[in-house]
Amino acid sequence: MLSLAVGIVLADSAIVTLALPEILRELETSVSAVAWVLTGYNLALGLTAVPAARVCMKPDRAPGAAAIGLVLFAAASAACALAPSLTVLLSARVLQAIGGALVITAALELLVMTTSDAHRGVRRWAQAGVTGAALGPVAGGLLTDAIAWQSIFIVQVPLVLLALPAALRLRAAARAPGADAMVMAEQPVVRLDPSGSDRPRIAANLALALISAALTAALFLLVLLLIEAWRRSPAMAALTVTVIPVAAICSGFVARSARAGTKGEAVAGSILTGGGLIALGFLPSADPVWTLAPQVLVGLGLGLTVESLTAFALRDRFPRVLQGGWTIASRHLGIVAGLLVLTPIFASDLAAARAPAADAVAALVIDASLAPGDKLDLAGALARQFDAEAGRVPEVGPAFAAIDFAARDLPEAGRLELALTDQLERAATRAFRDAFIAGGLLALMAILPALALREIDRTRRAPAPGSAGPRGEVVV
Amino acid sequence: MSCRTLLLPFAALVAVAVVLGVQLASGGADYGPPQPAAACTGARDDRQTRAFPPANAGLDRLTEYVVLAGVEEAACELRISRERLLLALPSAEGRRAVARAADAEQGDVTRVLKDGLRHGIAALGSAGRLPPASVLLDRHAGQLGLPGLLAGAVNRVPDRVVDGLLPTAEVLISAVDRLNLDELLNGINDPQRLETALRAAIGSAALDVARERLTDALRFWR
Repeated sequence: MLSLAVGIVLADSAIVTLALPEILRELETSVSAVAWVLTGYNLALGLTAVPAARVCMKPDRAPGAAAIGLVLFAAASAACALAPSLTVLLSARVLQAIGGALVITAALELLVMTTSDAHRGVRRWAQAGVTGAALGPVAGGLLTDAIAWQSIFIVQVPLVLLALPAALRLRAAARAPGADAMVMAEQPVVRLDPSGSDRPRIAANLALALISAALTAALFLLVLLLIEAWRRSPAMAALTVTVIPVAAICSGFVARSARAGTKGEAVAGSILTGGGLIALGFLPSADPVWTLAPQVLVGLGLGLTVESLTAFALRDRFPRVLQGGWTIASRHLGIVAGLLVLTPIFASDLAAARAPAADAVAALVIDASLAPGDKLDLAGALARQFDAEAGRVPEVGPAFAAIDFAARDLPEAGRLELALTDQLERAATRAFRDAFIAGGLLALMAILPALALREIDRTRRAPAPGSAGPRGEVVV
Repeated sequence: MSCRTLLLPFAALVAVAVVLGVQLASGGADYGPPQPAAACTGARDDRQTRAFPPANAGLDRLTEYVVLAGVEEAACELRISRERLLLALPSAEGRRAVARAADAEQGDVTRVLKDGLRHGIAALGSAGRLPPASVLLDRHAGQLGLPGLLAGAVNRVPDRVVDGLLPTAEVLISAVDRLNLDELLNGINDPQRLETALRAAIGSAALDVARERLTDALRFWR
C-alpha cells in the first residue's frame, strides 16, 4: 500500500498530462497557463521534498508524517476535482504536492523498515516511483476519456488512503515499548560506507534532473501532439503513450542482461532518451504508429537511467531519507526546468506555425474545383473556426459542415477537407520539432554527469560492527 | 570504462541511428506545410492564361478569375505570396502590414490590386473568354440588378447593337476604376453591401460607356 501511495504521488507529476487539453477548454485558459497544473505540482514537490525529508529523519516521526501527508494529499486531490477555476486548481495542486512530499520521503523509511532490508526497500521505493511516473499519463488519459478530468483526482482519494492504516500501524509500532531496537536498526546515523559522505551525490542527482526534464518533453509534448495537433482521443493517446512505461519496465531485462553498471546504464539511457526525443521531432507522418519506435527508445532510456541513478544516489549515503529527498527534489525541479524551457519554445513555434498553415489552407481553398460562392462561404467559415480556436490547432470539420455543397461538389469538398486536415497536421507537427529536439538535448546533456559517476566497489568490506566511522558515527 | 560498460551505450547509439535513419529516409526532415508558391513565377501572360475559365463559364467563374488574377498581379508587384495578400486584404490592419512589408503606402496596395483586376479583365477580353454584353444581359439580368422593365426593353434591342454599345471588357475596366477598393474590402463580410457597390459601379460604368459610344456614333452621323 505504501508503494502504491508512492506510485500515485509520483504519477501525479504527469497524470494530468492527457487531461490538460480538456482542462484548457473547460477552464478557458491558455497552453502556457495550463502547463502550470503540471509545473506548480512539480515545483512544490521539488521544493518541499528536502524539508519533508528532514521532518522524517527521526524514524519515529516517519509514520506520523506519512499519515499526515496521506490525509493532506487526499484532501487536496478532492479539492482539485471540485476546482471551479484554474487558480483554485493550482492552489490545490500545491497542497497535494506538499502532502505528496511527506508521503514519498516517509515511505522511503517505512519501506526499508517493513522489508527489513535497506537495498530491497530502496529498490521497491525507486521502482514504485518509476512505474507511477510512467503509468500516470496512461491512467489519467483513460479516466479523462471514460469519465472526465476531475475523475483523475477523485480516484486518487480512496487509493492513497488505503496506505493510511499501514502508516498508523507503523506509528503505533514505533511508539510501542521495545520498538527502539527495530527502529534503531535503520537509524540514519548508521553508515555502511565509512569512506563516504553525507553530501548528496551531485552527479547522479544532476543526471536525474536532466533526464526528468527530458521526460517532460516525452510526456507533455507527445500527449499535446496526439490530442491537440492530431485530434486523437485521450484514450487513444493513452494507449499510444503506454509504450513508454512498457519499454521502461522491459529495460530491467536489458540492464540485467548487459550488466553494464550504473555508469554504462546511465550513459546508454541518456542516449536512448535523447535519441528517441529527437526522433519524435522528425516524424514523417501524423500517424501515431510513427511515434512507437521513438517511444520505445525513450522508455528504455528512462527505465535504464531513473532507477539506476536513484539507487546509486541513495547507495551507502545517509541519512537515507534525506538522500531520497534530494533525488525527489532533483527529479521534480528537473521536470519544472523542462517545462519552463520547453513550453515557451513550443508555444512560440505553434504561434509561428499559424501563418504557413493559413497560407497552405488558403492555397488549397483557392485552387479547389468548387463553386466560387461555396469557396467564399467556406473561407469565411474557416476564418471563424480559426478565430474560435485561437491559440489551438483548429478543426476544419465544423467549417465544412456549415456549407451546403451541391451534390456534384461533395467528392471535391471531401478531398479538400482531407487535404486541409493534412496541412494543419503538418504545420502542427512541425511546430513540435524544436521542443522535442530541445528535450532530446537535455537528455543528452545527462551523459556528462553520468560519465562522472564513480562505480561503487561492492566488494569492499564493511567495517566491524561497533567501530567508528570517519565522523565518529557508530557502525552497526 | 570497461568493454561491458561501453557495450550498452554503443547498442543505444545503434538503435537511435536506426530509428532516426528510417524516419529521415521516410521524409521526416521535410514533413511540414509546403512553402506557398511565389506570386511572380513566370511571366504575367503565363500567369493570366494558365487557368482561363472555360468558354461557357458563368459570371461567378469569370469574377473569380478576375479577382484571382488581380490578387496574383498585386502580390507579384508587392513581392509576397498571393495567399498572404488574400488573407491580409479583408482587414485595414492587414493591408497596412502588407504595405509596410513592401515598403509602400497603404494606397499602393489597392492601386496595384486595381491594376491587377484591369489586367485580368483585359486578358480575358483578348482571349475572347468574356461573354458579350447581350449574353450577359440575357443570362444575368437579375444578378446585374436590371429592373424588369429595363431588361425587357434591352431584350428588344438587337444583340449587335447592345454589344456595340456595351463592350464587356471596357465596361468592366471602367467599373473597376470607379470602385473604392478600401471601402469595398472593409465591408467584404457584408455580401449585401458588396453586391450593391459592385452593381452601382457596373451600372454607372455601363451608362457612361454607352453614352460615350452613342455620342461618338452621333458625331460620326453628323
